Amino acid sequence: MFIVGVMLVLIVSAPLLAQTALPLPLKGARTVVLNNAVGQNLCQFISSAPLEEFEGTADGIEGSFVLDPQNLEATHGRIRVAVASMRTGIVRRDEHLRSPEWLDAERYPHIEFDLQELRQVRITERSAGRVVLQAVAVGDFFLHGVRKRMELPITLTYVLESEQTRQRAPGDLVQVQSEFTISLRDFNIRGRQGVIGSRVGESIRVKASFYGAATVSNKP
Amino acid sequence: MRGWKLLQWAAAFIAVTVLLVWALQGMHIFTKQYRKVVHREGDPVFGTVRERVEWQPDFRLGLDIAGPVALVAGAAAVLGWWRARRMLARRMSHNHG
Repeated sequence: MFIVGVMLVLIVSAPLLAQTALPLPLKGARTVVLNNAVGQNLCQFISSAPLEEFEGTADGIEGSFVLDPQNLEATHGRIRVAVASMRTGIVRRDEHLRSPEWLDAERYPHIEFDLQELRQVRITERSAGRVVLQAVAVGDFFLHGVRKRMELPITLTYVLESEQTRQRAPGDLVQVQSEFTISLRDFNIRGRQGVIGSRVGESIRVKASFYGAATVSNKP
Repeated sequence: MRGWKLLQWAAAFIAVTVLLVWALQGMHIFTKQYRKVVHREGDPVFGTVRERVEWQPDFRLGLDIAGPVALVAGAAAVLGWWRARRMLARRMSHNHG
């Protein structure tokens, strides 16, 4: 009975104890700081509604995360997007977007993702000095004063420092890409009456690309 | 009467032109000032396609401007037509009288 119990505990806790290592010769955690010299940090968003479809971008992005090459699941950090940097090509619509009826940029100037862990980490590609992995980033998404737990699929590419990478920035380079959907209702964004669902989509498709340079971390 | 006739045709021309430009430029609700341009290129470092997005100035007339302009011009055209017709009728009745 005791042995069966121990086995059950081991089976249940096995996924929790699983640690995925980055198959690269790295020691110690790395702090990845987003850097536009590595690549354009950008969020693109698409709204599809019966009466109108529009696209926009936000490039006021900053943030960092700590990545432990021996335990990728423990990756954590924060990424912030400035609402004021959101553009749709129409100045008046941008003003509406920032107004209290929509994202209320004055009260909530940033959209944040507080990354707490990675799950389902899968190394999908490895070559000399470069590793690509897919995972689910778990954390709190903060938008319009509402904090919501979200799981976002990501593809992370880690490239060891080389002569080629140094032309962009010193240190190892990292790219993170993600595509996900945000429901406006979940974040209490109501807009002007009758607009959501007719001219603005109830859900907004987001495509994010983040680029950063990694340095040996002092943080745990 | 000539003045009202001129107003009628000029205002009608403006209303039609504005609506035509709006229709040809994509029938946007709001006037667009910028166009999103995406530059895609292979990224040898990450082995992916790198996208660089920029907004370039590109004016597209929207209904927010075209609507009121067409409405005012349309109203002026109707006013011109009505006044010209009234003056013609008055002149004709004066001639008959």
